Amino acid sequence: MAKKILRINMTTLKAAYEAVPEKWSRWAGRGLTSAIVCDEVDPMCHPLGPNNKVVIAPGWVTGSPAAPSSGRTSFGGKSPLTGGIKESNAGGLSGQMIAKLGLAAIIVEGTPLKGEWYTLVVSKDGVKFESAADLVGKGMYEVDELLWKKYPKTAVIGIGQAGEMKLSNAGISVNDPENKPGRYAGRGGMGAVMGARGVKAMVIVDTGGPGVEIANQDLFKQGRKKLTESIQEHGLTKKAGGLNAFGTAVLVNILNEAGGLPTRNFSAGQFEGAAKISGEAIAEVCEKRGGEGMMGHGCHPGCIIKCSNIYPNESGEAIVSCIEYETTWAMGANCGIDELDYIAKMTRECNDIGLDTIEAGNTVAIAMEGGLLPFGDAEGAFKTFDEIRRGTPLGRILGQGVEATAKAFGVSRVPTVKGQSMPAYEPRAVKGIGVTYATTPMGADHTAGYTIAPEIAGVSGKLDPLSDEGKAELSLTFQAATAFIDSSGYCLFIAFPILDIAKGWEGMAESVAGVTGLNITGADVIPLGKEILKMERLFNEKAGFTAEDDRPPEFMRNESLPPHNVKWSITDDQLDSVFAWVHNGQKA
Amino acid sequence: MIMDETNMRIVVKLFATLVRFKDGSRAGRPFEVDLPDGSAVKDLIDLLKIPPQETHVVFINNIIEGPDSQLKDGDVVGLFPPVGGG
Repeated sequence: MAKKILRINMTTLKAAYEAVPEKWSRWAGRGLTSAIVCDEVDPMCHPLGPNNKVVIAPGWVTGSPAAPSSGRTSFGGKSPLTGGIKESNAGGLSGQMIAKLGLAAIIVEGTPLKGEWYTLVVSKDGVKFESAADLVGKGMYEVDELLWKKYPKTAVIGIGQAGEMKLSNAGISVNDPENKPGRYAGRGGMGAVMGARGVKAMVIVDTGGPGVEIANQDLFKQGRKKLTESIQEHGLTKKAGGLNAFGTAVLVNILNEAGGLPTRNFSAGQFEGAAKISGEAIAEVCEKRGGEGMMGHGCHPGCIIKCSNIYPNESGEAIVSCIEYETTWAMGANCGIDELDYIAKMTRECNDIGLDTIEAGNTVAIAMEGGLLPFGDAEGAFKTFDEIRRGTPLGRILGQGVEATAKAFGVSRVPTVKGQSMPAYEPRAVKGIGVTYATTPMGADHTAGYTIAPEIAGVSGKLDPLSDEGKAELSLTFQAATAFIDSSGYCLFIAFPILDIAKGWEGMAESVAGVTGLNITGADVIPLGKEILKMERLFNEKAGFTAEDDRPPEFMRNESLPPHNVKWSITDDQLDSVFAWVHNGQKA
Repeated sequence: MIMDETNMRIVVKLFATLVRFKDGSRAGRPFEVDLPDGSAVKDLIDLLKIPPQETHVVFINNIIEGPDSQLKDGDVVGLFPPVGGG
């Protein structure tokens, strides 16, 4: 049975199935959300106005039997944080269940009457529009719990108070296998776009769904086997390897060692408390406190990497799942805080209120620099989150993210590109990632082109992080490969094994070809990724972006970063070369 | 080991799964190792009885180096297994 598009209109409160038109039929995941956004969303629309949409799409292989670590869901629309196109993807339960309903994508459009909030219950029988009056004003922990009482074992997609207030740092939550909110399409404010549609939550009931059709079983099985083996063989992704044993926060110490761990609002590249907030430290706490605490937690069924964790309090009760690298850095090193228990509590606040932890931590750091509270004040930082939950004037400023907060507090060291704040890698000390931050259509985003792999982690070769040489080409290659992986439904972390082990790369492409019937091999990964990037770049141009928007912040050219005492040195021409091919080398 | 003019003293930090190669060590906690002059990173790895394939990224004084890089007295060496994420 061919996959369908489910279009949900919040103005008329009606939903309809549509055949997937030919022009979108090749795409899934990010490729599909970006194609639909490009075709249906006016680039000049107000992100919170009636003409923006939330487009939700599982990847090519998501929901197919035992494709390893493939539970991603893409959320697309125009971002209130950047003003450009946005695709933000998450793990959790939603992708596999949407796919099993036979849906290529869900498009949520229109706006209900002011003050009306809905829970959309999506099942094989269509969409039920339930009043969400009982959920409004509640955080995502309670929302997930209440919805599972009525609809157990379902996927719950939802927004916290931040999304209801349409704050630019509002993310979209997806529940994990324990029905906790923590798998976030966090970046870019897509929670506010969902809030502007009057949707508090969506429940996905996959019972009785047709499942995912496999076009070529033999090719799918062959590809799945190669990919699975590469994940199980690679030192980083294998059982008890770096990610499984220590989670993504295993990166804290190596970035600190490289002098590339942004510290106290990007004023230094090393944090004296790094070891205390590292993956190794999180693993120690989990082991010592026991109880519900664990490393090697999976964010969705069928993950064989299992990089998530459940961080416990002193009694062994779960505080939050999970503390990611970006989170422990944003709330930790970047705020001068070295207390993991506070970082865990702040992460829980973000997951409950519905905030992106990267933007939230960066915002606290900006407030610290602006004098609202001192660097290192963990209790003070924790309290700022309740301001956002309650929607106080201060909370509404902080909930708008870094740029709004920097303006409110008169701060000029503002680590953003296209309005979105930088993640946990200092561009002055790791040049390739700076090229990605500057040029990706998404605004500063490490996942968009993770050059950290060769520059720091020694994956896919080894390159000098401090050197400018070849970094433009490197970033483009990584951005293109990422656009493909973001469309596949596979977790981006399969990139580590498939970049090092050739059969893994082939296996990824073959499993996609096997599921879809598309004629895709390993050689098509980069060209297809570039097609997606081109769509996104053209949307941004129509939204008013120019070459000047592909620049790192000014202070990085002027201020030397210790310990290497380096400035940003890649030229604007080099940055402009990354996407020159979009217009055949001519200026846009 | 007795320190003499033919020896140098290196500060070593082990991370993630490599911590198990030093009794009582914790990630990033520095300890000192004496090596003969002219030693390279791979000699240090040998001395610590770490299988070479487990050491994936080596830092000397915050700069990424390789197993053949020469060490000098006072160098701070960080040794990592495969790590990544983000």
